[in-house]
Amino acid sequence: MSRLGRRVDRFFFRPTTSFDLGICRILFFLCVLIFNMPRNVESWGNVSRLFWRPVWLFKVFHLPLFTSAHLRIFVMAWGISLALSCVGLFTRASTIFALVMGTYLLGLPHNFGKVSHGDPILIFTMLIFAISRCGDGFSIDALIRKYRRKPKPRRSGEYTWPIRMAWIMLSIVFCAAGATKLIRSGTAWVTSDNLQMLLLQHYFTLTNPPTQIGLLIARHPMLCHVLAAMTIVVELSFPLSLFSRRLRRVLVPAAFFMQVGIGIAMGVYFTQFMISYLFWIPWRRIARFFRKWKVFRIARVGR
Amino acid sequence: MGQAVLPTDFEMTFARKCIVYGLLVVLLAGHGLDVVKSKEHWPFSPYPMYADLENTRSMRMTRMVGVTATRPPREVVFNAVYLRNSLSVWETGGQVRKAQVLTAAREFLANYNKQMKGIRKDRRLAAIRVYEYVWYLNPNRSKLGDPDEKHLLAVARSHQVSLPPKSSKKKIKPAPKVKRKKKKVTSAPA
Repeated sequence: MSRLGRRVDRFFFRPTTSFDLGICRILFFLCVLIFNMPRNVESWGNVSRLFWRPVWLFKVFHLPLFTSAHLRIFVMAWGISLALSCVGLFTRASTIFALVMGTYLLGLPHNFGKVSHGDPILIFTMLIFAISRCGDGFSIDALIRKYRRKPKPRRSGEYTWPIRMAWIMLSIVFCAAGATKLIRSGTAWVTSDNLQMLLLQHYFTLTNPPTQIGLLIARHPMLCHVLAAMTIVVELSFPLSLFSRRLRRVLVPAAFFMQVGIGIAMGVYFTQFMISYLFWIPWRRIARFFRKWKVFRIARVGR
Repeated sequence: MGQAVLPTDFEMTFARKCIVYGLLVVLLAGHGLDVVKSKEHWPFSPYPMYADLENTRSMRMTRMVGVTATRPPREVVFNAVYLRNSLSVWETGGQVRKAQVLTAAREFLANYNKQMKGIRKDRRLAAIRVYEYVWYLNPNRSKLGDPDEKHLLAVARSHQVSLPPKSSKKKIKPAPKVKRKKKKVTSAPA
């Protein structure tokens, strides 16, 4: 195997415990459940077929628009599968079911003329979970296995690649977004009044953002140019965080705060992306820190 | 001292590794092609969030507005994104598509009244108006909300729901006029 091949193999399949993947599974499916259940998906069943403009996936697989009564049942079934995936019961089956139902239900609103770009990342992450062995740690399945005295898996590359793939997915999203801006608009995306107009459009007409920050920024054209340039730089350089730990510490928080800033200034919330940041948190290291801290506290109290 | 290495219980099989690399290829190729071709194959996407230039200092938007079956009639704005987008596309897409706006408005009205029939009769609509709103974007403007221009594009009236007759409204007696004494206006000193 070549040197590059070995490095790629090590990136994806370096043996590790199921701790991080287990935590990510619980939090991911919990967040999807919390943020997506209040969405009134069943009401799309009442919308006139005149507005129906199917996206590629729905067109290729001839997925129809079901009635509200059917959609209500689908939403309930999806909710149950998300809950089961979260607690890790029948994990393989529940994650596959969550993926199939989630693809339909999350995709449905995009067939009415407005395609938003937050949901695909959830669908691809559910696909990653459906293929992975995410039920080996922090799950009811693991407890059942323990009860039946089956051997407990320790370290494997099976627990590394899903997290790395989620990293790659977020990198693809940011890099594609940056590249598309340059392909469609060129450097004028930074040098023109583009960002100023966007901020004003959202402030006055579209979303009614929670603060006046967008309007304040729009009043300073130079600041708009700087922010636009920073956006392009962060988006295009985000994939570098896959290779360098130092850059990861800068680029991941930068992208996170950029999206929080967009929410505050423009009233556009990238909730789905926020869920994807869970995969970048070193859960095992945090747990180790708290374990040490707990030991330290007990030792102090004992003195 | 090196870190203690836990026993690796299972190695990944070649087939499993192939699945993982296959998934990677699908993700990269799917998104890569969309970026290059600048086309959307949902869930693959070039992620064109705000990628197109916004240079004009005005903003146009087509909106559907319901007219309540009350006296006086009130206008209720339907601000759903799918309505806004579909109407904008149809409105700018020539005569054939403009006819679609009216059909959509009629169907929306009938559907809305049908849903409200069992729940809130007073919320039924007598008509749907389709407007084009225009805002002039100015960073020094502080007022939110109301558009600067409003053009009526289409009206769809309901056959089932109509405005209540004027006679059904209770006449309110005008309050008796009270004669006010005129105050003497004293001129201010120059």
